[in-house]
Amino acid sequence: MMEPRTESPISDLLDAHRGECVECDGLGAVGDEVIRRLAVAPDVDVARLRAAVRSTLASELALRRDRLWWRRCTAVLAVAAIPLPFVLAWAAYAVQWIHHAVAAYLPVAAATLASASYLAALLLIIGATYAAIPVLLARREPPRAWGVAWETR
Amino acid sequence: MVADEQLVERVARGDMQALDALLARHERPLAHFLHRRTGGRDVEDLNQETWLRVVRHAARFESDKRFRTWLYQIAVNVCRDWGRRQARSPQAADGVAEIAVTPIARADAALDAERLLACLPDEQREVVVLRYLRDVSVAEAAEILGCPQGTVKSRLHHAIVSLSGLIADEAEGTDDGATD
Repeated sequence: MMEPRTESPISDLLDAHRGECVECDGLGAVGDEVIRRLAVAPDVDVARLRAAVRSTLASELALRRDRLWWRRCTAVLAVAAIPLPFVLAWAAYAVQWIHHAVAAYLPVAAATLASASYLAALLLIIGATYAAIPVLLARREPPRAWGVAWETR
Repeated sequence: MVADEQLVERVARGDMQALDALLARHERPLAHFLHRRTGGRDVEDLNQETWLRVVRHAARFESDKRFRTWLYQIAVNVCRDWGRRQARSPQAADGVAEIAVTPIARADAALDAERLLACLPDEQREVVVLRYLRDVSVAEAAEILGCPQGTVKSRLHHAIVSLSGLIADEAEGTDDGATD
């Protein structure tokens, strides 16, 4: 089923061409008939086409979001890992210092317990800091799996 | 209003809303182009393939380019790939033959735009559809098709002459029928 276009630039465009081209200008009524016939838009079910495109591309776009998120996450973690060796070196020095200081007043077992507790707390803080990075990133832009889980809630 | 080029950047990051905005602006003209270019066959598949390529290559889109030009370049390539596949497959060869036979049926009184365009060679049909049905400038059509502007103009000229010839033949056939 064809429907005529209400406002078509086709006649203007063909007229412009006929103005430049002597041969086509001489076509007269036949040229007008060409214009009339071409100025008919095909009947296309755009809604159906859009639904098909959206369903096909939803997974493709989600894949893109996923890839981008992991790339960003990896980059941020890599940058955040730069000072890590210095932090660990300082932590090792601090643990040793605490062990020596406590051992001067208390038994060695107590000093070991105190320094081990300090080391455990330190590692917990450092680990939590790095674990927070992907969590914070995901809150800004959730990767696909989390996004889907969130949408289905 | 956000420019198409910015929307493509967002599509490259997986933004569905940006894709929706692009679809809203370009899906109808693109569907009409595909419909005219292929004679209405496999429009849904070709439409999907075109947008899939847009999404896959969105990251490589050069922002100094016009999105519409890039979109139609993709669409033209998709249609050309489709044409090659059609020519290779024996089942589709019937369809090609059907189109090729169409010029013989010039006297058909119901010769409409679709059948008129089907009588043109692919290169001329692409130019006519882009230039006259989609209002693309000669320069942009040349960029889309990857050929000089002079070639676009000459293809347009030959197409109009062919179409006029078809219509004139049809009119003669109708007149002959009437006199008989």
